[in-house]
Amino acid sequence: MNLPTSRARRENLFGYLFAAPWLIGFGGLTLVSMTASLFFSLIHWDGINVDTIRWAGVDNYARALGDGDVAIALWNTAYYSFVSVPLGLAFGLALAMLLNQPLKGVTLFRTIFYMPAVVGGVATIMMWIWIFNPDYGLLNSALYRFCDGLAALGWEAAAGWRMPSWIFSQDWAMPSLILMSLWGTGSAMLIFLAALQNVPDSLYEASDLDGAGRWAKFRYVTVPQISPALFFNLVMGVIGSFQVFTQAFLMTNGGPNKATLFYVLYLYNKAFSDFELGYASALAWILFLIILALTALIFRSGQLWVYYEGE
Amino acid sequence: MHIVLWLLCSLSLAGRTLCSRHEFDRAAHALGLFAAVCFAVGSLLWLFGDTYSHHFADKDRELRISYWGSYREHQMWGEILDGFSQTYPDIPVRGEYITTRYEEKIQQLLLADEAPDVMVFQDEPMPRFASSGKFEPLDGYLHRPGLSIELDRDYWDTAVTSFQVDGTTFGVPIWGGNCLVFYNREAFRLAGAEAPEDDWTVEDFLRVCQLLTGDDDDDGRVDRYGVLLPGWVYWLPFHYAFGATHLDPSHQRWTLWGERAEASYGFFQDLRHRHHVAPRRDELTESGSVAFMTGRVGMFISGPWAMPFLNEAGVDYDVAHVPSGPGGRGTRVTWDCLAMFSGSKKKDQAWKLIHFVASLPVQRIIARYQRSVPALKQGQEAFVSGNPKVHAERFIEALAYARFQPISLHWALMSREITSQVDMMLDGNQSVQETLTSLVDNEHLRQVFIMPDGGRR
Amino acid sequence: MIDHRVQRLLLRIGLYVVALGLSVVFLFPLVWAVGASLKPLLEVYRYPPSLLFWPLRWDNYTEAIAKLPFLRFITNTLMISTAATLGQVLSASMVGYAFARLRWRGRNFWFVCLLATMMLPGQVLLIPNYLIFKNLGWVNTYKPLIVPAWLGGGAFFIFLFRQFFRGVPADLTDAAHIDGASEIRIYASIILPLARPVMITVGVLSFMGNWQEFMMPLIYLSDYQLYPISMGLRMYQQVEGGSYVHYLMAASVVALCPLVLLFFFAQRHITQSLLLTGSKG
Repeated sequence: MNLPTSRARRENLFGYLFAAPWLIGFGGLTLVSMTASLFFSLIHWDGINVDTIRWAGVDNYARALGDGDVAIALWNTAYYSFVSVPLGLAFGLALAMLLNQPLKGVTLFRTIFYMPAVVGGVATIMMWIWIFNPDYGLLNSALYRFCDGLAALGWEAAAGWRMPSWIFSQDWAMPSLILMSLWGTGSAMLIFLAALQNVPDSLYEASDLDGAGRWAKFRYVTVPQISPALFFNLVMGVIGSFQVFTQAFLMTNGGPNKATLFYVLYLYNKAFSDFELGYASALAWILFLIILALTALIFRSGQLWVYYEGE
Repeated sequence: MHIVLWLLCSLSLAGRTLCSRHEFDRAAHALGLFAAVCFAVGSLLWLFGDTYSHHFADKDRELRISYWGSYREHQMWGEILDGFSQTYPDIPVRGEYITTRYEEKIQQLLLADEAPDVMVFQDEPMPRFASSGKFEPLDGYLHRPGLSIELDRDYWDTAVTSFQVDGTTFGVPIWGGNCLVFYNREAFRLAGAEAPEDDWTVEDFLRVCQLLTGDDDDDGRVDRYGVLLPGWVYWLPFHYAFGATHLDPSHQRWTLWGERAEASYGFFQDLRHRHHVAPRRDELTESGSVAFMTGRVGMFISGPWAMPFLNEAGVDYDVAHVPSGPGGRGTRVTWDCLAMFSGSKKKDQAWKLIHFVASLPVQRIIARYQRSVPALKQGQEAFVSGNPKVHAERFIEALAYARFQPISLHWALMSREITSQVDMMLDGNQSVQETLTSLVDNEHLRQVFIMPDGGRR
Repeated sequence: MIDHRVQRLLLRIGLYVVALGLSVVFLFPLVWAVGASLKPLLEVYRYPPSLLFWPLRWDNYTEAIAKLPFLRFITNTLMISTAATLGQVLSASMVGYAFARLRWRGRNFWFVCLLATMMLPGQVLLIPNYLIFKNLGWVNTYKPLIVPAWLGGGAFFIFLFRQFFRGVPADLTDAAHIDGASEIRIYASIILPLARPVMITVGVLSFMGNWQEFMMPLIYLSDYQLYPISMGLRMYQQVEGGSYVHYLMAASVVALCPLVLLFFFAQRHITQSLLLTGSKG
């Protein structure tokens, strides 16, 4: 009779103890910053001179609702997210499954596949600007050669096909960035790999005995077993893709013609170029609400398809 | 101090393991406790030692000056600061090299009152930052005995006015430059074109472009272009040639409207679409210097800062005055200055540093690095003689007709919106009229400038 | 019988082909970077471009490294990354465990808060964070880069650990509970060993992230001698009219080697078989 209660109390205590590092950091740093930022969203301020602070109330939020650029930025960001996240998950999982096979040299392959994530940063971006070059970049060169090959095989019309201008074209800039994001799925792939390694062989053996084919094994053994990792990558993917910034900032700067004007880029410009920190903070909190809503949706759906072994 | 404690902690832990192995349980226990205490105290010291000294101790820090640039600029500042230490051996000085996102970081530092005592600063963001009150007005320092600076007499006039906001001086100019037409001598030779005359016109310019443009290998794709189209800021020389402007002299009224603006932007667009002497965006995607370097474009518009890179790459080039047009002749000039932080605790020393950098010996060093024109008029010789293959004196001569840029509190916003619309215009997606109209109707711009139709929200 | 073997062989060949093909795609950037690092400056921009340019200019490496205090930057980066990674792995696993297995009051509420911290774009938190750190006196030290890593180290890793810990079968810990083991005991002896693949994964991801991080050092460090390599590399950029690409690539390649080596050796540990239910072969 006493045991459950005291044990429950002990567990409660240890729960707080184990979570203490984060709780301290959250209370002392993050919460304070976020509250300050919420406050900033309710004022007009240029971010440098405290004398310019004036109360705004909900003015910043109202302005955001009427700002045409906000709509464009949201649309761009949503487009990017809804396309790149599913593609990225599928691609990452496929890669992880490939790397999970007992191929010779798989260690080397894993290192190679993870290279993009390692290289990272500015060097990658410079290289991609070159790859995407419509004239002599790698992508179009390869594509043109492919077309020539097709033409030689008899499909003559292929010789005259024009390849897109990728990041320099209004229509293809966003697909280019999505393509780039696929290339960088290193960390998602790694997490999938760790999850795949965790799946007990016994389950596969058992399903073999039941006569399950490859697809059935995937659908009924693999997916449920890695669903926690899948769930994680999905949530992180959504949260991250809505906050894309660096690529747009360094490569396209929102162009051409606002085709790659991501929400956070717009927000950043408002904060640090136009010195409207109040407005930018309001924009940030609007994004927060959007992401929160989406995440809540994913969590709700997660109860249907995520399977935790420990429960 | 904290490191000592942490060492003690690890030693005690080692001791504890030893003791428990030999079953000296109580000793192990005590050592374990001691280790924990050492660790805790050490960590607390590490975490909050600086907090204490930040709030209560009054550390005498060095004089700090911040700057941006590549490793060459870093080298240059190293030289300058060495010279400063030799002249003033009792003033310790430290250069803070901010490698990227300079203004963003300065803004943070200003806000937190942690800014360096002296900052290199550009003219474009100056009005905005000066209005923050965190830049020290320098008028009072200009006439200090022994450390005086005669701005109006010794420095280029646009340099001086660039850093005066509402009549108060906030920065002492140190270097800058204007935009001229760079032309590739090799490309000119190949095309049989003659070097541009000093007084050439916009029509001459167009003719030269057409000479330079050609399809050498007859594959239907143009291999050489006349000129690379710049952004709207670097287009200013031509803009002025047509008699057009962006803002009125008070920088509050929008004037990019009407016949002259249409003539200027019409020419801008025509160079690419009608005359085909400039490549489209997808036909040539490298930046200005790079396309110029490889000979793909015969001319481009830039300032003295392009020269070091071209020199290092070994390109055979020269600079020409900008062509004149129906509106006369003009070019843009931009300057950088040294500003002082109003919260600095070493203002006297900061002024000595500013005075030192603005003086002739240092201006000569700056000239030697060739990336800009020294702001001190006397520095021009060093600048010109530093690059004998190129007519660098034209940069100096052009200062006579150079004009102050349309800088206001809203420079960044203006620049972004114009760039966005001009990009569309140059891509052939909208006409000149539509471009100008959409700018006048732009909701963000209407909030901060007085538009030609008198409207302003 | 033979059909089956042939089928398996074809499958393996197919997989190899795909793996090799993808390897080319993934390796290409590195190859390009190395190629660019061995060219003279003008050749980097030559049109039409080539992958390599002969003679290879090995001097780029010596020159690029000489122009920066390279060794110091790398040492700094090593210090920061190691300290931060250690903190992240240790504290994130603890907190992740708390969210995954322990029942404590308000756990769900705090979990929502945890996720919420990731949803606000960091750019608007720059100023408040800076003011906090300034008042702590931590500006121009490594503390803002290291201390947050020990305080949970970010929601990403905590969430990741939570997912993995929830997958640990309950019977393992139930047995230990019945035996009267304390939570700390359970955590240290049962959970942690099982979590080795995850911990190594997190370690790798965390180290890579910290190595390449440049926003935090940019904002908080002003003493040039304290800079990590991510900021040092920027000295070769943003030159008017171009970048010193050849130096940038040479320095980047050298700066990346430790990461590549780290990953190569670490990933073997991620994939070691673990004895979850004793039946994994």
